[in-house]
Amino acid sequence: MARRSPSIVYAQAHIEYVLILALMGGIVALSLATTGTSVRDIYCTVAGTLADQPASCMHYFVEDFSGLDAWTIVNGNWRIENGQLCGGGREGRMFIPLSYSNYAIRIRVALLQQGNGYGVYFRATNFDRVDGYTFQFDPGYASSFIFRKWVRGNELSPFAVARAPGFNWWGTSYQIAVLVNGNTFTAYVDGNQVLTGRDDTYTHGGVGFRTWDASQVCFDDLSIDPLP
Amino acid sequence: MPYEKSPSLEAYAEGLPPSPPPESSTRHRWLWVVILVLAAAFVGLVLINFMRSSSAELLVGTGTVTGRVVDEKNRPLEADIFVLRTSIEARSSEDGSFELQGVPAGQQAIVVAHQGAGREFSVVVVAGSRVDMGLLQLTATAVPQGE
Repeated sequence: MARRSPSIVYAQAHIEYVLILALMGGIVALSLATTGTSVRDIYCTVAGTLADQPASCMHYFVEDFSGLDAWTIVNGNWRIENGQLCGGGREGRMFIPLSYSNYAIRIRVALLQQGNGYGVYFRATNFDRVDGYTFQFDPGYASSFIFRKWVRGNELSPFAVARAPGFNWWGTSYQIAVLVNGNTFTAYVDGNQVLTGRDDTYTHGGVGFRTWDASQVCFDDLSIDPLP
Repeated sequence: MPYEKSPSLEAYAEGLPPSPPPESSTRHRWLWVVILVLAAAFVGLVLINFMRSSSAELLVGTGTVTGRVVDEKNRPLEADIFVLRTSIEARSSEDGSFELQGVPAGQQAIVVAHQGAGREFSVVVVAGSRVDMGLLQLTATAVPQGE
Protein backbone atom coordinates (compact mmCIF):
# COMPACT_ATOMS: atom_id res chain seq x y z
CA MET A 1 0.00 0.00 0.00
CA ALA A 2 1.36 3.38 -0.98
CA ARG A 3 1.90 5.72 1.94
CA ARG A 4 0.99 9.35 1.57
CA SER A 5 3.83 11.69 2.15
CA PRO A 6 3.63 13.80 5.34
CA SER A 7 3.25 16.96 3.28
CA ILE A 8 0.11 15.58 1.55
CA VAL A 9 -1.41 14.54 4.91
CA TYR A 10 -0.63 17.97 6.30
CA ALA A 11 -2.21 19.74 3.32
CA GLN A 12 -5.31 17.53 3.47
CA ALA A 13 -5.79 18.26 7.17
CA HIS A 14 -5.64 21.95 6.33
CA ILE A 15 -8.34 21.55 3.69
CA GLU A 16 -10.55 19.75 6.21
CA TYR A 17 -10.12 22.51 8.78
CA VAL A 18 -10.91 25.13 6.15
CA LEU A 19 -14.00 23.13 5.19
CA ILE A 20 -15.13 22.96 8.83
CA LEU A 21 -14.64 26.69 9.29
CA ALA A 22 -16.51 27.44 6.07
CA LEU A 23 -19.42 25.19 7.11
CA MET A 24 -19.54 26.76 10.56
CA GLY A 25 -19.59 30.24 9.01
CA GLY A 26 -22.40 29.20 6.68
CA ILE A 27 -24.38 27.65 9.54
CA VAL A 28 -24.03 30.81 11.64
CA ALA A 29 -25.14 33.02 8.73
CA LEU A 30 -28.10 30.77 7.90
CA SER A 31 -29.09 30.50 11.57
CA LEU A 32 -29.15 34.29 11.85
CA ALA A 33 -31.24 34.52 8.69
CA THR A 34 -33.60 31.81 9.89
CA THR A 35 -34.19 33.31 13.31
CA GLY A 36 -34.10 36.95 12.19
CA THR A 37 -31.25 37.66 14.60
CA SER A 38 -28.67 40.28 13.74
CA VAL A 39 -24.99 40.23 14.60
CA ARG A 40 -25.70 43.35 16.65
CA ASP A 41 -28.27 41.42 18.70
CA ILE A 42 -25.70 38.73 19.47
CA TYR A 43 -23.06 41.29 20.37
CA CYS A 44 -25.47 43.13 22.67
CA THR A 45 -26.69 39.92 24.29
CA VAL A 46 -23.15 38.71 24.94
CA ALA A 47 -21.97 42.13 26.08
CA GLY A 48 -24.99 42.52 28.36
CA THR A 49 -24.35 39.12 29.89
CA LEU A 50 -20.69 39.81 30.58
CA ALA A 51 -21.04 43.40 31.79
CA ASP A 52 -23.35 46.39 31.73
CA GLN A 53 -25.22 46.88 28.51
CA PRO A 54 -23.18 49.11 26.16
CA ALA A 55 -24.84 52.42 25.38
CA SER A 56 -24.96 51.54 21.70
CA CYS A 57 -27.13 48.54 22.55
CA MET A 58 -29.80 50.45 24.45
CA HIS A 59 -31.47 51.85 21.33
CA TYR A 60 -31.75 51.07 17.64
CA PHE A 61 -32.48 54.73 16.97
CA VAL A 62 -32.95 57.90 19.01
CA GLU A 63 -34.32 61.21 17.75
CA ASP A 64 -34.75 64.46 19.69
CA PHE A 65 -35.90 66.34 16.59
CA SER A 66 -33.16 68.88 16.55
CA GLY A 67 -33.14 68.20 12.80
CA LEU A 68 -34.63 65.97 10.15
CA ASP A 69 -31.48 64.77 8.42
CA ALA A 70 -32.11 61.11 9.20
CA TRP A 71 -35.61 61.14 7.75
CA THR A 72 -37.06 60.47 4.34
CA ILE A 73 -39.94 62.89 3.85
CA VAL A 74 -42.26 61.48 1.19
CA ASN A 75 -44.88 64.20 1.42
CA GLY A 76 -46.55 66.56 3.85
CA ASN A 77 -45.76 69.70 5.74
CA TRP A 78 -43.19 68.46 8.27
CA ARG A 79 -41.16 71.02 10.20
CA ILE A 80 -39.25 71.53 13.44
CA GLU A 81 -40.99 73.88 15.87
CA ASN A 82 -39.45 74.57 19.29
CA GLY A 83 -37.41 71.39 19.10
CA GLN A 84 -40.40 69.25 18.19
CA LEU A 85 -41.47 67.60 14.97
CA CYS A 86 -44.76 69.09 13.78
CA GLY A 87 -46.83 68.23 10.75
CA GLY A 88 -50.28 68.39 9.33
CA GLY A 89 -52.70 70.22 7.15
CA ARG A 90 -52.63 67.47 4.53
CA GLU A 91 -51.45 63.94 3.87
CA GLY A 92 -47.92 63.64 5.18
CA ARG A 93 -45.55 60.69 5.50
CA MET A 94 -41.96 60.52 6.68
CA PHE A 95 -39.77 57.55 7.51
CA ILE A 96 -36.49 56.28 8.84
CA PRO A 97 -35.23 53.01 7.37
CA LEU A 98 -34.53 50.11 9.72
CA SER A 99 -33.79 46.49 8.99
CA TYR A 100 -35.00 45.15 12.33
CA SER A 101 -38.00 42.90 12.80
CA ASN A 102 -38.93 43.42 16.42
CA TYR A 103 -38.67 46.60 18.42
CA ALA A 104 -40.40 49.00 20.78
CA ILE A 105 -41.28 52.46 19.48
CA ARG A 106 -41.48 55.04 22.23
CA ILE A 107 -42.63 58.64 21.73
CA ARG A 108 -42.42 60.80 24.83
CA VAL A 109 -44.54 63.63 23.43
CA ALA A 110 -47.40 63.14 20.97
CA LEU A 111 -49.80 66.06 20.91
CA LEU A 112 -52.75 66.20 18.50
CA GLN A 113 -53.88 69.79 18.38
CA GLN A 114 -56.69 69.37 15.90
CA GLY A 115 -58.03 67.10 13.18
CA ASN A 116 -58.73 63.45 12.56
CA GLY A 117 -55.56 61.99 13.97
CA TYR A 118 -52.04 60.77 13.26
CA GLY A 119 -50.27 57.52 12.56
CA VAL A 120 -47.02 55.84 13.53
CA TYR A 121 -45.63 53.57 10.83
CA PHE A 122 -43.72 50.41 11.64
CA ARG A 123 -42.12 47.66 9.56
CA ALA A 124 -42.29 50.15 6.71
CA THR A 125 -40.44 49.57 3.44
CA ASN A 126 -40.64 51.02 -0.09
CA PHE A 127 -41.37 54.45 1.31
CA ASP A 128 -42.58 55.98 -1.97
CA ARG A 129 -45.26 53.27 -2.21
CA VAL A 130 -45.16 52.19 1.37
CA ASP A 131 -45.66 48.62 2.55
CA GLY A 132 -46.02 48.25 6.29
CA TYR A 133 -48.33 49.01 9.18
CA THR A 134 -49.58 52.02 11.12
CA PHE A 135 -50.82 52.46 14.62
CA GLN A 136 -53.33 55.27 14.37
CA PHE A 137 -54.47 57.64 17.07
CA ASP A 138 -57.67 58.18 15.17
CA PRO A 139 -60.60 60.20 16.52
CA GLY A 140 -61.74 60.44 12.88
CA TYR A 141 -62.34 56.68 12.76
CA ALA A 142 -65.29 56.80 15.16
CA SER A 143 -62.95 57.72 18.04
CA SER A 144 -60.70 54.69 17.80
CA PHE A 145 -57.20 53.35 18.12
CA ILE A 146 -56.53 51.23 15.07
CA PHE A 147 -53.87 49.16 13.32
CA ARG A 148 -53.82 49.36 9.55
CA LYS A 149 -51.86 47.50 6.91
CA TRP A 150 -50.38 49.36 3.94
CA VAL A 151 -49.88 47.77 0.54
CA ARG A 152 -47.97 49.73 -2.16
CA GLY A 153 -49.07 53.02 -0.66
CA ASN A 154 -52.71 52.00 -0.15
CA GLU A 155 -54.26 51.83 3.31
CA LEU A 156 -56.36 48.77 4.02
CA SER A 157 -59.28 48.48 6.38
CA PRO A 158 -58.05 48.21 9.98
CA PHE A 159 -57.21 44.75 11.24
CA ALA A 160 -57.57 45.85 14.84
CA VAL A 161 -59.88 48.52 16.25
CA ALA A 162 -60.46 49.68 19.82
CA ARG A 163 -63.20 52.24 20.29
CA ALA A 164 -62.53 54.96 22.88
CA PRO A 165 -65.51 57.30 22.64
CA GLY A 166 -64.84 59.32 25.77
CA PHE A 167 -61.13 59.72 25.22
CA ASN A 168 -59.63 63.19 25.35
CA TRP A 169 -58.08 63.20 21.87
CA TRP A 170 -57.06 66.84 21.41
CA GLY A 171 -54.80 69.26 23.24
CA THR A 172 -53.21 66.73 25.60
CA SER A 173 -49.73 65.35 25.25
CA TYR A 174 -49.50 61.57 25.52
CA GLN A 175 -46.67 59.09 25.65
CA ILE A 176 -47.14 56.57 22.87
CA ALA A 177 -45.51 53.16 22.68
CA VAL A 178 -45.89 50.45 20.07
CA LEU A 179 -44.37 47.04 20.68
CA VAL A 180 -43.69 45.13 17.48
CA ASN A 181 -43.04 41.49 18.24
CA GLY A 182 -43.40 38.74 15.64
CA ASN A 183 -46.93 38.89 14.27
CA THR A 184 -48.29 40.66 17.36
CA PHE A 185 -48.45 44.41 17.78
CA THR A 186 -49.45 46.19 20.97
CA ALA A 187 -50.06 49.89 21.46
CA TYR A 188 -49.87 51.82 24.72
CA VAL A 189 -50.97 55.34 25.58
CA ASP A 190 -49.42 56.74 28.75
CA GLY A 191 -48.42 53.20 29.69
CA ASN A 192 -51.93 51.80 29.32
CA GLN A 193 -52.47 49.11 26.72
CA VAL A 194 -55.10 50.34 24.27
CA LEU A 195 -54.86 47.97 21.31
CA THR A 196 -53.49 44.61 20.20
CA GLY A 197 -53.45 43.32 16.64
CA ARG A 198 -51.99 40.45 14.68
CA ASP A 199 -50.79 40.19 11.11
CA ASP A 200 -47.94 38.31 9.48
CA THR A 201 -47.58 40.00 6.11
CA TYR A 202 -44.51 42.11 6.81
CA THR A 203 -41.49 40.91 8.76
CA HIS A 204 -39.19 43.90 9.07
CA GLY A 205 -38.78 47.57 8.21
CA GLY A 206 -38.53 51.12 9.40
CA VAL A 207 -40.59 53.57 11.38
CA GLY A 208 -42.40 56.74 10.36
CA PHE A 209 -45.12 59.26 11.02
CA ARG A 210 -48.30 60.05 9.19
CA THR A 211 -50.79 62.92 9.16
CA TRP A 212 -53.88 63.43 7.02
CA ASP A 213 -56.66 65.89 6.36
CA ALA A 214 -56.55 68.91 8.66
CA SER A 215 -54.65 67.21 11.49
CA GLN A 216 -52.04 69.23 13.34
CA VAL A 217 -49.71 67.17 15.49
CA CYS A 218 -46.35 67.51 17.20
CA PHE A 219 -43.96 64.82 18.42
CA ASP A 220 -40.82 64.83 20.52
CA ASP A 221 -38.23 62.37 21.78
CA LEU A 222 -38.60 59.24 19.72
CA SER A 223 -36.65 56.12 20.54
CA ILE A 224 -36.72 52.74 18.90
CA ASP A 225 -35.41 50.11 21.24
CA PRO A 226 -34.81 46.38 21.30
CA LEU A 227 -37.69 44.58 22.94
CA PRO A 228 -37.27 44.10 26.67
CA MET B 1 17.82 5.08 23.72
CA PRO B 2 20.52 3.55 25.94
CA TYR B 3 21.93 0.28 24.76
CA GLU B 4 20.63 -1.70 27.74
CA LYS B 5 17.03 -0.59 26.97
CA SER B 6 17.10 -1.45 23.31
CA PRO B 7 14.96 -4.52 22.31
CA SER B 8 16.70 -7.84 21.95
CA LEU B 9 16.61 -9.84 18.78
CA GLU B 10 14.35 -12.37 20.57
CA ALA B 11 11.56 -9.84 20.49
CA TYR B 12 11.60 -10.07 16.74
CA ALA B 13 11.83 -13.84 16.52
CA GLU B 14 8.41 -13.94 14.81
CA GLY B 15 9.04 -10.99 12.58
CA LEU B 16 8.36 -7.30 12.98
CA PRO B 17 5.37 -6.41 15.18
CA PRO B 18 2.52 -4.66 13.30
CA SER B 19 3.05 -0.96 13.30
CA PRO B 20 0.41 1.02 15.24
CA PRO B 21 -2.01 2.95 13.06
CA PRO B 22 -0.74 6.43 12.46
CA GLU B 23 -2.21 8.94 14.89
CA SER B 24 -3.38 11.12 12.04
CA SER B 25 -5.78 8.51 10.65
CA THR B 26 -8.00 8.57 13.78
CA ARG B 27 -8.01 12.36 13.78
CA HIS B 28 -8.70 12.32 10.08
CA ARG B 29 -11.75 10.11 10.61
CA TRP B 30 -13.12 12.40 13.33
CA LEU B 31 -12.61 15.44 11.15
CA TRP B 32 -14.81 13.88 8.50
CA VAL B 33 -17.48 12.98 11.06
CA VAL B 34 -17.53 16.64 12.13
CA ILE B 35 -17.63 17.78 8.49
CA LEU B 36 -20.55 15.45 7.73
CA VAL B 37 -22.52 16.63 10.78
CA LEU B 38 -21.89 20.28 9.89
CA ALA B 39 -22.77 19.65 6.26
CA ALA B 40 -26.06 18.04 7.31
CA ALA B 41 -26.89 21.03 9.51
CA PHE B 42 -25.95 23.40 6.68
CA VAL B 43 -28.15 21.62 4.17
CA GLY B 44 -31.02 21.58 6.68
CA LEU B 45 -30.78 25.33 7.22
CA VAL B 46 -30.56 25.97 3.47
CA LEU B 47 -33.75 23.95 3.02
CA ILE B 48 -35.55 25.82 5.82
CA ASN B 49 -34.62 29.18 4.28
CA PHE B 50 -35.57 28.01 0.83
CA MET B 51 -38.97 26.74 1.98
CA ARG B 52 -39.64 30.16 3.46
CA SER B 53 -38.76 31.96 0.25
CA SER B 54 -41.11 32.83 -2.57
CA SER B 55 -39.08 30.57 -4.82
CA ALA B 56 -40.35 27.54 -2.91
CA GLU B 57 -43.92 28.52 -3.70
CA LEU B 58 -43.14 28.24 -7.37
CA LEU B 59 -42.26 24.59 -6.84
CA VAL B 60 -45.87 23.87 -5.97
CA GLY B 61 -46.99 25.48 -9.22
CA THR B 62 -48.95 28.56 -10.14
CA GLY B 63 -52.46 29.35 -11.25
CA THR B 64 -54.50 32.18 -12.70
CA VAL B 65 -56.87 34.38 -10.69
CA THR B 66 -59.65 36.39 -12.29
CA GLY B 67 -62.38 38.64 -10.92
CA ARG B 68 -64.23 41.88 -11.33
CA VAL B 69 -63.88 44.97 -9.14
CA VAL B 70 -66.90 47.10 -8.34
CA ASP B 71 -67.49 50.08 -6.06
CA GLU B 72 -70.02 50.38 -3.24
CA LYS B 73 -72.81 50.82 -5.80
CA ASN B 74 -71.67 47.80 -7.82
CA ARG B 75 -70.32 49.98 -10.62
CA PRO B 76 -67.19 48.66 -12.43
CA LEU B 77 -64.00 50.15 -11.09
CA GLU B 78 -60.50 50.51 -12.53
CA ALA B 79 -58.39 49.46 -9.58
CA ASP B 80 -54.94 48.18 -8.75
CA ILE B 81 -54.69 44.50 -7.85
CA PHE B 82 -51.81 43.09 -5.80
CA VAL B 83 -50.90 39.63 -4.59
CA LEU B 84 -49.43 40.02 -1.12
CA ARG B 85 -45.90 38.68 -0.53
CA THR B 86 -45.26 38.64 -4.28
CA SER B 87 -44.42 41.28 -6.85
CA ILE B 88 -47.47 40.37 -8.92
CA GLU B 89 -49.74 43.30 -9.66
CA ALA B 90 -52.22 44.27 -12.34
CA ARG B 91 -54.90 46.83 -13.06
CA SER B 92 -58.51 46.06 -13.74
CA SER B 93 -59.94 47.20 -17.05
CA GLU B 94 -62.82 49.63 -17.60
CA ASP B 95 -65.40 46.93 -16.90
CA GLY B 96 -63.59 46.10 -13.65
CA SER B 97 -62.31 42.72 -14.81
CA PHE B 98 -58.78 41.56 -14.13
CA GLU B 99 -56.59 38.55 -14.60
CA LEU B 100 -53.52 37.66 -12.54
CA GLN B 101 -51.22 35.02 -13.97
CA GLY B 102 -48.46 33.09 -12.25
CA VAL B 103 -50.00 33.30 -8.79
CA PRO B 104 -48.38 30.70 -6.48
CA ALA B 105 -50.68 27.84 -5.57
CA GLY B 106 -52.21 27.76 -2.11
CA GLN B 107 -53.95 30.33 0.07
CA GLN B 108 -53.19 33.81 -1.21
CA ALA B 109 -54.17 37.32 -0.17
CA ILE B 110 -55.32 39.60 -2.99
CA VAL B 111 -55.47 43.34 -2.35
CA VAL B 112 -57.73 45.53 -4.45
CA ALA B 113 -56.92 49.25 -4.17
CA HIS B 114 -58.29 52.45 -5.60
CA GLN B 115 -57.21 56.02 -4.84
CA GLY B 116 -55.09 55.10 -1.85
CA ALA B 117 -57.56 52.77 -0.16
CA GLY B 118 -57.57 49.01 -0.42
CA ARG B 119 -59.31 45.88 0.69
CA GLU B 120 -57.88 42.41 1.20
CA PHE B 121 -59.50 39.25 -0.13
CA SER B 122 -58.51 35.64 0.36
CA VAL B 123 -58.38 33.06 -2.41
CA VAL B 124 -57.17 29.49 -2.75
CA VAL B 125 -55.18 29.08 -5.95
CA VAL B 126 -54.88 25.65 -7.54
CA ALA B 127 -51.79 24.92 -9.62
CA GLY B 128 -52.52 24.92 -13.33
CA SER B 129 -56.10 26.10 -12.78
CA ARG B 130 -58.09 29.28 -13.19
CA VAL B 131 -59.92 30.63 -10.14
CA ASP B 132 -62.70 33.19 -10.55
CA MET B 133 -63.12 35.37 -7.44
CA GLY B 134 -66.35 36.85 -8.78
CA LEU B 135 -67.30 40.39 -7.76
CA LEU B 136 -64.85 42.14 -5.43
CA GLN B 137 -66.49 45.16 -3.85
CA LEU B 138 -64.22 47.99 -2.80
CA THR B 139 -65.48 50.01 0.13
CA ALA B 140 -64.08 53.07 1.85
CA THR B 141 -61.46 52.47 4.53
CA ALA B 142 -61.12 55.92 6.10
CA VAL B 143 -64.25 55.49 8.19
CA PRO B 144 -65.94 52.44 9.73
CA GLN B 145 -68.30 50.58 7.40
CA GLY B 146 -71.60 48.87 8.07
CA GLU B 147 -72.63 50.93 11.05
